Amino acid sequence: MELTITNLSKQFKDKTAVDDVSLSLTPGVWGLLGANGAGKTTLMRMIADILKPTSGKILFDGKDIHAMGEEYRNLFGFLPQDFGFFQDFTVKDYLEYVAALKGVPVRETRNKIDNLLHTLTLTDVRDKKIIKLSGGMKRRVGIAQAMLNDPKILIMDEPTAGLDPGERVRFRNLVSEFSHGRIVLISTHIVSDIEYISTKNAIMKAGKIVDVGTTDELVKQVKGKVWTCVVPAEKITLYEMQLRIINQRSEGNNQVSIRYLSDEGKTSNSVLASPRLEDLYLWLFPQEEISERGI
Amino acid sequence: MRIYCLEIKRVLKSRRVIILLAIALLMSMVMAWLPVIFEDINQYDDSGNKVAELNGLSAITYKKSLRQTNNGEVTPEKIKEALIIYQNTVSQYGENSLYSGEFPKDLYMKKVFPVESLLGRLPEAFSNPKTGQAASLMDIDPDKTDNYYEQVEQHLKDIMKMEHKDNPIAQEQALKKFAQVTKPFQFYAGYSRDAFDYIMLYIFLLVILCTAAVTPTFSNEYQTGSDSILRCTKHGRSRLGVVKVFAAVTVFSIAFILCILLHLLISNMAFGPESMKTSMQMLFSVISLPALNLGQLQAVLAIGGLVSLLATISFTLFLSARFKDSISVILSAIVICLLPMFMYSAGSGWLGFILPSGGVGMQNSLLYQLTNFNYLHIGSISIWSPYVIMAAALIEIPLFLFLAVRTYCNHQVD
Repeated sequence: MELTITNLSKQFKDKTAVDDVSLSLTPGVWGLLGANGAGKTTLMRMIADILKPTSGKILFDGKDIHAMGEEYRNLFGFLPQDFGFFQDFTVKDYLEYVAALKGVPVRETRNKIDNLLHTLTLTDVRDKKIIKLSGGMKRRVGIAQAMLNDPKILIMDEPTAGLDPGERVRFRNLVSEFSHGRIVLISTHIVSDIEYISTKNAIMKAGKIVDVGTTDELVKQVKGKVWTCVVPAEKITLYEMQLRIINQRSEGNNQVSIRYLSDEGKTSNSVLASPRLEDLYLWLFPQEEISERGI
Repeated sequence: MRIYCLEIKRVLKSRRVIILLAIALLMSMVMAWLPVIFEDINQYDDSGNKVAELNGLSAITYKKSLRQTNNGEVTPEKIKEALIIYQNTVSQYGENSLYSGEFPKDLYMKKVFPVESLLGRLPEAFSNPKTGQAASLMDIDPDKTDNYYEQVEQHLKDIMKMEHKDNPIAQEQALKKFAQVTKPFQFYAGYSRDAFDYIMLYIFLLVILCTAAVTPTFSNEYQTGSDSILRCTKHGRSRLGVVKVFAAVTVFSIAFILCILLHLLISNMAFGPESMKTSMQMLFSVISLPALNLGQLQAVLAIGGLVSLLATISFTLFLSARFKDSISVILSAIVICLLPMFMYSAGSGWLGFILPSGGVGMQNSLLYQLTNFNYLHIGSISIWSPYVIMAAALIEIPLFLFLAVRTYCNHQVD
């Protein structure tokens, strides 16, 4: 099973959102990383076949997904970044409606809904109107609908936005378990959500895929560039101006432990740290650039 | 079928739909009852003293009791007899006394009121052939009513010559159509012309309410983003598009049928179902072309209203599939709903009639087009305006439904 993206581009008037992207997605969890405006959502919409590419092709096992139509959508589950619900429907009504649209047989629908509601800890709100749910609950209803038809290809755009830490852990376990023999593509800003479950990651920048690989392969790029040290608390503002600090933690006694990115150690007490995916993300997308793009 | 049932459930669970349909149901009763409330008449004793002021149902019952002697066929003999009674009674005091209030009330109620409805269309039938000005009942020679129906036909010829002098085909078509009207006419006292105006007003209101209810069908989902999820599902494209339009058509057709039936039921029960046998020529223009009695006319208006409603909601569904926000859809749909009224007043001709809501409104409404002689011309062909309204609506229903589904399927998320 393979989803092949070949020379895919999308042009919006004067902006190229996706620029000649080629990528081959195989079973497993794929993380799609990139700053806001990198083109992740546009790419996902084209994979979902709800947005026509300006050029290029997306093939599933060699067949054009657009030409496959219903056959492709039958294998597909999608959680968009921004989505609404029928406000007057309860959670159960909504999932029954989507299950019917997904062609889930009536006799299986009830069990599937019950299982997903249980897994996503939504059982208590099954008869509640969606309008009355919290943001995190709505997001979990979104995840449930995407998984209703046991899709072979599951695309989720920012699935963990609005989820609390416990829910994010449950989500990671669910996706990890679900991904066997399936292609799961997740875009997120919360790098830690995919760091430990992703089989591979693709990094997007300015509409292009700039790198693809496993977490270990990718973080090699920042090997020798991640440093930690302890600095006096009163000098932290100075260090913030001079260094690309990723993280800081108070150590007591007016001391602060910092983690920063640099080609070389900037303080005498700096020691090299094991790089993580988040370090790579921040290396590739410096804060100034992220800020410029509206984060 | 499962998706269709779930979509109907979704539509009926929408708070907006529930509120709008509740208003439609309430208004069906209110608007059927209003013309009943407006009915009033005073009851006098033999000395001309007012003994009671009757309103509503009691006024209708009393009026019917005074006029029921004329129920049945409107034969020339009956008309002549009524005209003689009228002229003999009124000539003693002069016709102006009827309007100035000097005419004795008891005499009016005994002699004039019972024959008035029978003679109501006589001034029109005997109007001046050149100017079209209605004759006075006092000036009509009773002997001339022996050929009343020939005179009515002559009046139609005169009117058609006046209004369509360059279109002999239209003149011929009108005469042919009128030849099908059953004569002598039938008359059964009771029903009010105001009630027909309220039927048309109510149909207009129903079309507006249903249009408002149908506007979010597609656009709301584009706006909220729920569409992105639905169109990624197996049946989320053409099948969902088809189901959505048919569910909307089903819900609002049933709502229209139930509401209009309730409205007509209340109205007919109040005015008396027997009055439905009256020829429409006795309540509207004497040369109205349709061969219908009032009951049949109500059925035609209800069916015509349903066709116009379906054309309007089909067009609205197309707008909903086209635009990304519900406000644009509702504004455009309401403008299109109201446009035929303004276009008719501005004498726009074809365009006002072929718009989806061409048959609903005020003067442009199907009722008034059925009682008028508006013929539209293409080359040598002349077509009566009610046919144009209905034919256009019947073409527009499948056309706009198809376009709505196609537009929905081709919609791109951005």
